[in-house]
Amino acid sequence: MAATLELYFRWGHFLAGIMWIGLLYFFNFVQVPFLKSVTPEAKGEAFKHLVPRALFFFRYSALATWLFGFFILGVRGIVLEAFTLQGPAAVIGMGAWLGTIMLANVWLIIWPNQKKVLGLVAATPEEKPKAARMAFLASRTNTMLSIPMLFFMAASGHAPATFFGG
Amino acid sequence: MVSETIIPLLFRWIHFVAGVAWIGLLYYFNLVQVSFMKETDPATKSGVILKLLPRALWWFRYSALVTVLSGMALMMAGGIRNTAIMIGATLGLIMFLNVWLIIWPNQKVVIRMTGDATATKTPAPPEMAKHARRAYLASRTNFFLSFPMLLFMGASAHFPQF
Repeated sequence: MAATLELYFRWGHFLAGIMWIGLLYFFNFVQVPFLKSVTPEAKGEAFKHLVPRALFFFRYSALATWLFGFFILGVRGIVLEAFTLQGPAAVIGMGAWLGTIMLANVWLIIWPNQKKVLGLVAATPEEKPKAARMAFLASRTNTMLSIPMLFFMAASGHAPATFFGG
Repeated sequence: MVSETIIPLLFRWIHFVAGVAWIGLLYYFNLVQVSFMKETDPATKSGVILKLLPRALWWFRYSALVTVLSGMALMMAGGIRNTAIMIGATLGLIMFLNVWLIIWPNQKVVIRMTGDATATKTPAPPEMAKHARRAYLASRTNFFLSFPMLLFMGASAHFPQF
């Protein structure tokens, strides 16, 4: 029963996680160079119709990824060990902490600043480029954090605890 | 120890990063770009086909290649043999062939025809819709195949009894 539950949580974690980090890679490797290369009209269109939809899937899949990951730890009964980096759970704990920092970046920095850029909340002309810069830096940070994060995700379930001295 | 744990771990890490980029871009195409292209004006649409799509498709098809290669290396190095991974790998391979044999060749034609039409300021030839449709259907197919594929990928390493 617990194993079946964990399988479904892991499935949800994969689907949501791929959507989240895949869109993060899209923003960093495709959308940023695209927006630099187009006319102001096309940029306006992208801000009106493309970026808001992408950000919707981005921030909710980020939330779903974290929750599914938390449920997996819950089913295994290692939430506390993971987040306090104890024993073999320290490996997934490192991944969980990196993922938590990334989730906080999405909801507390990227999304509030993008709302100003997109005009969903009021912002002065001086505030807008600053907000765009903040969102960009947090997004770049998450891209870099995703590489070690995925290392710990890959290592946690597979490399034996002895390998990490747990 | 190196061959038993570190080598498979490195392959799995590469497999995760490349797989996230590949299927993540697939989700972008299906959940974000398709709706955007329906809503926007023809000029922006051409701009997206000429300036966004080539870059997105470059990451898409090469991350698909790296995902498949690192996956095969992982199966060999890790000695992974079970029903779940066989089903998952088969689904992944079908998706990979869809990318390289249907989506990319047809999208190349769409990009070329859009480029010609923009340069000569003439409407795109009617065959372009046929190529766009084929690429779209293969992309939709991959979108739906990704769900069972990921179930079996997750099951293979953790629940090999399946």
